Amino acid sequence: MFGRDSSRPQDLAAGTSSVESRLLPMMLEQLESRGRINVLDAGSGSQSTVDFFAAHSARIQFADLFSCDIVNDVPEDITAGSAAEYFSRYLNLPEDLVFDVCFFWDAFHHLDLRLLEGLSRALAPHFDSRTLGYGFGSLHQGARKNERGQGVAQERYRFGIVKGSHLLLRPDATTGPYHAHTQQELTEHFPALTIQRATLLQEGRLELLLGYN
Amino acid sequence: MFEKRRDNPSEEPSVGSIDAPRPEQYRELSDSRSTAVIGSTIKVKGEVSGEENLIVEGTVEGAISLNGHDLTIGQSGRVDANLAAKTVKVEGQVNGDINGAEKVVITKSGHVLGNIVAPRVTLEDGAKFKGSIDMDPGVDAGKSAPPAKPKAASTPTSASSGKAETASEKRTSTAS
Repeated sequence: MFGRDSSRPQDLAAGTSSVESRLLPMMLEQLESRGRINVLDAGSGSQSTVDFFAAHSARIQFADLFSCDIVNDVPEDITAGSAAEYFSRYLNLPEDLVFDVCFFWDAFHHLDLRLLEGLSRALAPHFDSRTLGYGFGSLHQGARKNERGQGVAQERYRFGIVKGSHLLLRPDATTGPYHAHTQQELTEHFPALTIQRATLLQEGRLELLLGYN
Repeated sequence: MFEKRRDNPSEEPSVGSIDAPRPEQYRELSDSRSTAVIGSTIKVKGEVSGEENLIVEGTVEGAISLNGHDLTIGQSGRVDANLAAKTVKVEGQVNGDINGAEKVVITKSGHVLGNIVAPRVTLEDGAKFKGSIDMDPGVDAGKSAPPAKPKAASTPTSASSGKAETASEKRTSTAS
């Protein structure tokens, strides 16, 4: 159903690159037996992801997380609780919506620990025992922080799925503070899902497969 | 000069010898007549409905329903409304839900805040979208777009209508 093809995608648009994923096929395999699925994508719309799920019966929610005010300009006095309230209002999800799969891509890295915990609290009501997640973490905490321990602004990317085995990456033309989060930080500050598997990528990045507690 | 007229007889038609429009010109005339335009300085509050194609370059607040016809929100178009049409193309800004009986296209300059229901959806590179896409909402989807409901004035985003549409999407109905 979720056809997988390990060959590298051809005819990519200018500025777009592809990366083969080891965990994505494993995750999609778990969705095979499900009927209609609900998908959360942290990004602002990806044609390749739409095309990929068009063959399946799916509802895709694009969260456009990087247009969220508190992500771009973090208030100094914000707490995990107030961030959770803000994210709940911003996402504005139907109360009874439960996601089968969530593609966080590198959204974790553009949230500090308070926002990360706030997002976890805001999304927790929309997860259940079958919810799966996919995203990136870091092997080292300080890899992308400046001397004051703050996240260094880095270019954001738009991600998409193609062929069920590759990720498409395209620069988003925006930048944001970058907070490299280790597995331990993600476990502590994003408790709504737990890390089930991780594989090491280039530059100390981790590819993560998440599941329900 | 005479030679030029022979080469391009349509350029300078003489009185009493007007050429009949070519078949493709009939088609162009017909198309132009069946496409209405809300110009860039026009503001509409309320429900817009019709039996012809529509291009919105101005501002619309309320709802737009074009049963079986094409709707284009042009680059200068600012729409705070729920939309329903055969095809919907967004080049400007839409804050509202979109129901496309055949397809919805958000171009690279398009910005949509709302939920989309359509059998086919195209998001061009650079398009900004926040909301849900449902390409298989049910058996009757894609046959005809239901009329758009006026957007609630107090709703900051499309969430209120989104909740209504997704109420049947509880896990119990999706489990295999």
